[in-house]
Amino acid sequence: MNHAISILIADDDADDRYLLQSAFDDCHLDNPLHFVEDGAELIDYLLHQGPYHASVHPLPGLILLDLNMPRKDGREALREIKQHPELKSIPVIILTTSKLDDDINKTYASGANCFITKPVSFENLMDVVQSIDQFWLKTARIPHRRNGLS
Amino acid sequence: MKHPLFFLRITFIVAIGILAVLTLLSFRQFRTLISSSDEIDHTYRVLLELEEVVSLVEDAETNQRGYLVTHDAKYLDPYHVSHPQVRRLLSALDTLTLDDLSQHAHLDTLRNQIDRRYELLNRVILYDTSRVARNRADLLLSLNRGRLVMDSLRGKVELLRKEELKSLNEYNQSKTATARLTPTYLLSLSALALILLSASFLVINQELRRRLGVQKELEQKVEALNRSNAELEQFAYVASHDLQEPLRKIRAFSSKLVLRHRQGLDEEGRDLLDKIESAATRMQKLIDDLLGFSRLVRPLDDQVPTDLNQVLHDVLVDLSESIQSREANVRVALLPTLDAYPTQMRQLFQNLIGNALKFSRTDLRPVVRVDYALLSSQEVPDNLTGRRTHVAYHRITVRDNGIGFEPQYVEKIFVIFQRLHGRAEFSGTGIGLAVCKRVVINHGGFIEAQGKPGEGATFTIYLPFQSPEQPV
Repeated sequence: MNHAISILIADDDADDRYLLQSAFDDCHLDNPLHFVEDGAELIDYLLHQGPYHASVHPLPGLILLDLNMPRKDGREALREIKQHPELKSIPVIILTTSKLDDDINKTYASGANCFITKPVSFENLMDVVQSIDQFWLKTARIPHRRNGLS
Repeated sequence: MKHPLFFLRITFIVAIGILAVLTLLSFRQFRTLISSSDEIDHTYRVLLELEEVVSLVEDAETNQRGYLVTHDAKYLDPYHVSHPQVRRLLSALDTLTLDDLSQHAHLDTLRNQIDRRYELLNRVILYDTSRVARNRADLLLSLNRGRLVMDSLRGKVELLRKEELKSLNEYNQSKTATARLTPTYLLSLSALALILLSASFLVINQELRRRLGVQKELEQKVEALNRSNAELEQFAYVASHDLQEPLRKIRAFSSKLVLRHRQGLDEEGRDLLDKIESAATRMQKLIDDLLGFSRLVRPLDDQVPTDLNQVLHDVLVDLSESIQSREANVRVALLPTLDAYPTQMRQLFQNLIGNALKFSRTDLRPVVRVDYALLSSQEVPDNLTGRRTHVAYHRITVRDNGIGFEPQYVEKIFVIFQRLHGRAEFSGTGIGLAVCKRVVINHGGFIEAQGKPGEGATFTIYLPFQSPEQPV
């Protein structure tokens, strides 16, 4: 059991962050959740820049990434992560309102590991969180993270 | 001016005809001019040579006389060469008068007279040199005969001169007559051509101005249309993102509320939350449909050869659940392959066949028939469109035995979000047929509906036939 796998969630929408947090809570998952509000913050976090110190903000085991965000959007952040020699091994799950073929094709081409369209109802959101837990945290084996970049 | 083009064509044909006549006349005039100067030249040459002949013969006489008086042989040298010279001149004159028989005959006589003259001259000289016959009477006779021959020779030359001048005169007269007439012809024809061309220029100018005006108007309209299209696209973007976001939240929070606090709510509270949820769902569906419809306005990809049989097959697979549950009988004729947007074609038939299944009668097993025919332009009903731009059309009909509709609503059913039934009766936003119409328009075709309540509905699609050599 990988209880300690931490998850970094990048979403500019406070409501969505709240809904995700409660969905994780309601599913009784105790994985540490970290939130950033746009692509620029996400990259800062991952590179331990600015306010993000490696000791307080360890590298996540999994990233949930929204696409449409201010400043640096998810597509751009995704490309940067997947081109970074160390960050690229972190699984990135796109979690967005978009269901456009174009977004799906391009994000997979950029190296996204999974593409999920945000469900409308809270019930379905809980289903999605459970699926993520079932597959990415319990079924799949993903790189183990210690502390920050080596 | 009702038919400016017809008028223009006639004017141009007449003007070109006139110009052709003018060209012909000018050419003839030119040729007459050239040949008349040739004629004058010819006449003067004949006259000159005749004069030369006379003067040579006269010289011969003078030399003879000189000899007779002095008996000096130096007078005989020029005398001896003069006869061959005269003969050469005469043969030159022969060729000059080849075309004139009477002049030719006169020339023959002249030649004989000249030969005779030289013979007489010779005889006198011979008498004198040989002193053969000192018969003075004989000598005088020869001299006298010589004078007579010379006189008639001069007369003949005069005759030839006159004849030659006469024919020149005649020729000049006829030439002047045509020359006097042709300028009048030429001038009036040129004037007429000028008038016709000016008139056509005025008409063309007027028409061009009118068209330029219309073109400018059209350009402005296109610009306005492009602007409104861009605004529509902007609207579609706003609808897809900004409008949907709050809506999604409403639904997410209300479902969370239901999930978390269902037990704490009474019957009415739960009912109200259900209503919020169903209204929000419906709005979501409307926005989705509107967005889908707005994307149809400007197709992004290219048309590709599309096998409609394959499209229908895919649609029927999609609808197989509904077909099976209603035990529907769907029969599809062999359909053509044509240049189209495949996804749009799929939407078209999905909606038409989906409707045929949806609006079926509960007491009757649904029967849906898809038929096909290739029609010539003349066979396409006139009332559908004023512009039948293609020579042939594909006609595809989708016919069902469902509930049909009141014919008075035939226009309304194609309008976006227009519905003929309550939502409790039949689900849907009322966008299906608007999509169908849009798709058909995108393919340069048209669609019509026919129906009667309880007797089923028939939708007929006309799509332009594109010959392989002439892709549109």
